[in-house]
Amino acid sequence: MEHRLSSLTSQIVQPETLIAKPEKNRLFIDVHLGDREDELKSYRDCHIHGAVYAQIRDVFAGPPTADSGNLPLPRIYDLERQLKLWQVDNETELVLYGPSMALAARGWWILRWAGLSRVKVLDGGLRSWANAGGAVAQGEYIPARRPDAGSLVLHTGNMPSVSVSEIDNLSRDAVLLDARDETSYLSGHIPRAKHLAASEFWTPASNLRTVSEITDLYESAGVVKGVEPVVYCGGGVLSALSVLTLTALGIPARLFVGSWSEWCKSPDRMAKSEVGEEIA
Amino acid sequence: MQVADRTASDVLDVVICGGGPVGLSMAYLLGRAGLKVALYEKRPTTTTLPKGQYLHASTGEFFRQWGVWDLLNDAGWDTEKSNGQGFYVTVANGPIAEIRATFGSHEDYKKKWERYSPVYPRKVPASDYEAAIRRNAAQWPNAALYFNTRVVDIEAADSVHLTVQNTETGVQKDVSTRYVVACDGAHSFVRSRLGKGQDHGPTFGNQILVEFRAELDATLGKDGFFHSFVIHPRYAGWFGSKHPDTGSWRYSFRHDEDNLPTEAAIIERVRGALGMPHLPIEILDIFRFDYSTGLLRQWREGNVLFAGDAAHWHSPWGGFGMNSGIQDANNLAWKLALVLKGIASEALLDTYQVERESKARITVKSATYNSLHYQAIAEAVRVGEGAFFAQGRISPEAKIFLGQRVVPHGENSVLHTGYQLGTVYRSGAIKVTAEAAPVSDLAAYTETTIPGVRAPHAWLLDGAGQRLSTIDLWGRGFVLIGHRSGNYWRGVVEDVSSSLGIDIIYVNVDEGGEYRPYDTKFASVYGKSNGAPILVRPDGFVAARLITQTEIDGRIELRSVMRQILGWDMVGEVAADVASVA
Repeated sequence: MEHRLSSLTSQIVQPETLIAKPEKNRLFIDVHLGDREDELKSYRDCHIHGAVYAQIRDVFAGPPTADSGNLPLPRIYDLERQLKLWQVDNETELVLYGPSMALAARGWWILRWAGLSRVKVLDGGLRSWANAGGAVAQGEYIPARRPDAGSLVLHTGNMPSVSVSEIDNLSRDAVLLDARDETSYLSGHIPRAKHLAASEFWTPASNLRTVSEITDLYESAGVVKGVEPVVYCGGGVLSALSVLTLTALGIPARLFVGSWSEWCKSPDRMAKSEVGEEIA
Repeated sequence: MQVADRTASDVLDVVICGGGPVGLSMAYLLGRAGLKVALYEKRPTTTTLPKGQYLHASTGEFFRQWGVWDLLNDAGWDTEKSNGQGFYVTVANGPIAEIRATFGSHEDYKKKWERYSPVYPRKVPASDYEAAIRRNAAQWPNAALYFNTRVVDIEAADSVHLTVQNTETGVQKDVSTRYVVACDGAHSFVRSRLGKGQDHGPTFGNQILVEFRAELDATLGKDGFFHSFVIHPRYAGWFGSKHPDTGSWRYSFRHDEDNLPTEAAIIERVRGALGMPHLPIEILDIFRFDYSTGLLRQWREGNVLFAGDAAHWHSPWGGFGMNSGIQDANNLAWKLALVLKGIASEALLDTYQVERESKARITVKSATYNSLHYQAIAEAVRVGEGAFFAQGRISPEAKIFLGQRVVPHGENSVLHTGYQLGTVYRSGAIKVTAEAAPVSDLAAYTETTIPGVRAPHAWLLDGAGQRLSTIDLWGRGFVLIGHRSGNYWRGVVEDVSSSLGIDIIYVNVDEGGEYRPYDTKFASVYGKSNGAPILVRPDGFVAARLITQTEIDGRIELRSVMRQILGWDMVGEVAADVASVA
């Protein structure tokens, strides 16, 4: 599996690896975004055995304000309360997956940001898990109380990010990447942003593409070792997958959590936006 | 949260979660065994849903043992009114293909089945047979059946603690029990709390089922099918035959929308499928069902066991759900009773999953196959038929193609004789012989007494000259059935029974024995093994053939077989080896 990103980082994991090594203190998180009722139904119909349900807007984002993007950072005490309900401690191995790799990546980024270290994204999600022989379940999983649970201490700011004001003052070495789909990019993007859709990173079967495929994608966007990528998308979901894949390739990247949905809140900023193709 | 002093007498033997056919059967069987049992069901009473009507012969045999079969004498559909499946473009244009359970009368049908069983497969509303099982389960003073009561919490330790809630008053009660059997269906609450994962198959969702009243006796009713499939692409769906008690008809179709169709749209659709655009139709009820497919990986979590849809769930095509669930109950109940009474070791409980999961795996595949197979036939028949459909018919080629598709399984597309009677168990609770049991098959059933199979039916005469089936002898304990050296084996059975503390019943079928063969069937099935008596388990499955060479003492043999079955002497691996060689 050397051609997989999971061979480069412990933060991406193959289902076979997890199945071969069961762990008591492991929690799967099925990350969803979109229509609340439909998404919950989809979780209830089939999820990885031992997976809890997380709606991004409730768990991995805070309530949006007039100036913020659609999915601002969550309040740390809200996140802590939710994780404690799930019986998570600082040693819990957290495995994220969802209908798309990007949703899982958003959960991964937020948990890492909150200071947790054993956080992994499951390559290929539910389908790849079942195909590897993993057990699934119907209904709702409620983690049992763990009297032996350790402590849970969270502190914010453990992942590099940029604020909207910093976007205006990026250094020359920074490469700004727009991870949204092409139509969104062409109809308006932050000045200087290059386009590399995060959806390029996964196959129709929802597995992450190979190391060489993803390396090529970044190289063609001018992202190689030594540059300082800054990524954004609509609301910090797709771009979280960009951060994850870049992390695997050993290229630290900063995330603009507010993304386009925050950028576009200001008429002044919108006036500076560019449309159409970035001329190289 | 109430805290109560618990004494041993507060602790129940078994709590049954769910009062569908599986839970009620468990309650009947465990109640009969004298255990202290409570059943909790959230619905106010037994089912009223218009589904689950196919009663297999194998289930009918248990019903006969439990006195339920007789309660259903006047229930259900006549054979002539529930005979197989018909295919139509639209009903008004008449059938274009058919599969029949019988081409003769009801008497012919019964006679045909008498070869295999004292009963025969029937169509009976679930409301009738559930009520009948409930009635017989309620006769045991030691079995309490609580409806309107939902299990809201379960915690498993050495004993299991549950919280149950009355759905009307909201009052909660804590219950402690040594064992729990979860019979709480495809969306099992107990499974979601304690299950260790599942494997899933396809979902057959968005199935709308409409009950309606209309005058169809001279058309749909005349053809007498139990299911009538309409393949017209605009009206694709199926009709169920007229309900024997309410007189209502059923029509089912797929509807991929969140909201139910309007009554006007349904009436238009039913009329279209019938090809009777002006027929007066009164809609009585509209249901929506989503059938998912799954198999639970571990059927036992400590003292909690899973049965029926809670352990294996699938599409209703083939009518396997209730039947396989009741087989689960019949397999588990005697084991649980013997373990609770200290007669068998805990290890006996592990043979439950070994034996029934094998059947469940076949069941989920068969139900899935039946659903997809029908879809494939209907889709294939529709290709290239547009102009014909417009005239309410299909091409001659389509008709031939359809006919050829329904031939291969023949009557067994609706009977599944092999599925019903051909179950074979392999586990430590079977004394495997070198002779291989027949391979399980949906259609074909091979009658044999090789250990692991359902002990076959043969008619006998009792001392009073009354006819009864061998099947009538099973159910209440182990039975050693022989036809030679009666006095010798009677002595063996008495000795081994008292030394193991378990009642084994000896049945001697011989001139001069308490039973005589009614016809040659007994000798042809039970007389084959060179005089060796056959040990039948309480669930009616052959446990062992006892070898009768004079140098082997029958006492030693019976005792060793019984100790193996009761789980005191583990031979699981040995049995598995033999199975893999076979």
